[in-house]
Parts: sequence; structure tokens; C-alpha cells
Amino acid sequence: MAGSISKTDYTQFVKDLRRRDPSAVTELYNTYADRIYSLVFHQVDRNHEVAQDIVQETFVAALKSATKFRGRSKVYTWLCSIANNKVSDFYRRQKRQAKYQTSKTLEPDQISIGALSPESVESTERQEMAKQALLSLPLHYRQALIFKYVEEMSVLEIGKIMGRSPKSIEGLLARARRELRAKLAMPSEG
Amino acid sequence: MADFITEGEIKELLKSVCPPAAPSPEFKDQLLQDLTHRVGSATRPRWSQPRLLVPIAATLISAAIGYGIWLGQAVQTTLVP
Repeated sequence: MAGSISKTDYTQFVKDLRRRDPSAVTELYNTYADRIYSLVFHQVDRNHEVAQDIVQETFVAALKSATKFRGRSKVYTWLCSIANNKVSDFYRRQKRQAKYQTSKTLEPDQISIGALSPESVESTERQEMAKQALLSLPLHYRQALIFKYVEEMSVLEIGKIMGRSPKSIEGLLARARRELRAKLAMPSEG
Repeated sequence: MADFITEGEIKELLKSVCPPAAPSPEFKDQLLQDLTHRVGSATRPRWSQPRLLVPIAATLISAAIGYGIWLGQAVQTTLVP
């Protein structure tokens, strides 16, 4: 089964993973590396280098904490929460160093939404607008929207990943949607 | 425009903006190697880890040499009338 582990093997897989069994680690990696990469990639302004660094940090951290994983949440949810923390760490570091702002990645809050080519095809333009609008949102809004609409996770799962209650996630999603709609409605105001 | 964007449209838009992305095969291979190496060295018995294995081997070899020398001297002593 692509992208997940079958239910019958799951319990054994978690046991093996907690023992840091090499074949379980390989299976973990082969099953989830692409999904985690994709998730991180869209959170860090599609910067391959940064995404690769964060994916590496995520799997190394997962290995270190594998013995503590109880299997109460899905393996993917557990990996997402580690990746989520690593992305937040990255933006915290970036804020401190402020070196990526001019060279590699733009600080999401500083991206101008108005700079769109007038020759763009309408759908491409709309997509570009959406891309910029998403990037201009605060990180926790962006993460919540990606988990909900791209990863199609439940509010409960998002809560586990982001360390918040389902109620708080619902509120967060509502605010994120409102802000995204506002950004899409007033592209030039940013 | 904002009034017309439904939740379904947001979903559709975000899905089109965030298509699945994959890391380069080189990166994947390298990271997998790194992880299996980390697991391999962590699951190896403590005594067989290189840091411990070298001093253990050195101690055993010195002990064997010492025993050989002592045995040689002991034999010599017993052979002397």
C-alpha cells in the first residue's frame, strides 16, 4: 500500500520501530519520506535545500524519540508533529539570523501579493495569487490550512500535531480562512 | 471575490497550489544511508562498538603477550637444574 502501512502490520511495525529495528526504520523512511518532504516543501516557500535539511532533521529526531513512541497517534501524525516543530524552529532561526530574507527565502509576511504579471493566464494568475496569499499568512495559519485542505487531516489530528485542542484548531482554521479570503480579495493591499 | 470563495474552493485552490513534491533521489539515498548507519551503530552490542572494541582488543593482545613472556620464563626456570 503506497503511502501508509497496512493495519495488520501496523502493531508489529510500531513495536519494531520502538526497538529501532533497521528494517522498520527503512520502512518508515520509504513510506513517509516523500509525504513529509512535500509537506515541508510547501511550508518553506518551496525551497528544496531548506526542505531537505528539515526532512533530515525530522527523521533523525524521529529515530531518537522512536523508543518513546507509544503508537497512540498515527505514525504519520507523529512525524508531522516533529516536522512541524522543525519548520517552526527554522523560522525562529531565520528571524534571528535574518540572512534568508535577502538571499534564499522571503519572510512570508513581507511578500508582496500585488506583483503579478498582467499577461498571466487567468487560472495561472489565480493560482499564483493563491500561492502568494498562502505564503503571506502567518506560519500557524498556513500550517493549519495545509494540514486541513492539502493533507485532508481531521481537526483532531491537526490538534495533535500542533499541540492544541480541536476547538482551538477550529478557531484557528476559521481565522486562517478569513485571512486567506481577505488576501485573495485584496491582492494589491497585501 | 472573497464572498464567492467557498470552503470547497479554498480546498481546490490549496491543492492546486501545493501539488505533491518529491526530494531528489540522491538526497533520499543519502539520508536513508545515514539513518540506517545511525540505527546500525546504535543497535550494535556495546562491547562491539569501535570505540570500545579497540581498547578491548589491545588489552587482550597485551595480556596474551604478557602471558607468553611469563610462560617462557617459567619454563626456563623449571628447566634450570
